[in-house]
Amino acid sequence: MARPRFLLLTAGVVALLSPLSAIGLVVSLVPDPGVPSNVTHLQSSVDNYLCCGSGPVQEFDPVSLPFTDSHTAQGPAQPDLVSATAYSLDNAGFTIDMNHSRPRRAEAKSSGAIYFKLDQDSQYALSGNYAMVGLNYVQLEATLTNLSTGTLLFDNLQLTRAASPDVSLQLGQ
Amino acid sequence: MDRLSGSLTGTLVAGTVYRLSYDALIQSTDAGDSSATASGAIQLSFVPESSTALLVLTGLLGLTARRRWCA
Repeated sequence: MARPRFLLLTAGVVALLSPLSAIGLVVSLVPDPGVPSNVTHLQSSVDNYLCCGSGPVQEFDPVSLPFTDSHTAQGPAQPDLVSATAYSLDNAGFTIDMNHSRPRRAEAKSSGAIYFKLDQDSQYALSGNYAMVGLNYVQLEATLTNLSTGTLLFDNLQLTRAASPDVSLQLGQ
Repeated sequence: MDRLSGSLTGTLVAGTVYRLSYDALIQSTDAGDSSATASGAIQLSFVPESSTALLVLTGLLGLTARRRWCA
């Protein structure tokens, strides 16, 4: 007699929570950086490139979260040639900050990759911007890839030979 | 030359390995000889799937109810 009553109760709970699940899914589309999500950061590599400066800085070891680090490369013959990258990784997400300064004919660049997996299904929200003051060439690229299936979840490359002194690039445009 | 595909928001599955890669640069061209500065940021935020949490909650409620009814 207890078993049918148990099944009836379970069915009632599921029926009650189904609409709540739909509401919860809508709410979860709004990023909330305060919610922990049990991120396992597997591997990262961050490179700072200068056309005439120091070589790349790389990190391939797994790190524990939260994790922050920064790298600055400076052109030995051109003090104004600077490439700085700072990254902050925690359970709420990853942030990579980049600052570049280039005198005349030179290239300043930051590039890297972060490998990770989650302990819990999660929604992601990706954003980014890169703004240049000065003339010439500017480029921003970001990709998010599911390595298990080789599926690109997001892929955006923007480049321009600036015709105006100020150029601002925004991911997703 | 620009490229855009996929979505800025979506779902990440637990246990799957993902890669976030980024690349930002400023460069001079043959025509230009002026200096430039640039700054920016890439952000990837995670929000736990609410439906998963509710499924877990449903299971816990079911287990609790079963124990009570069977006791």
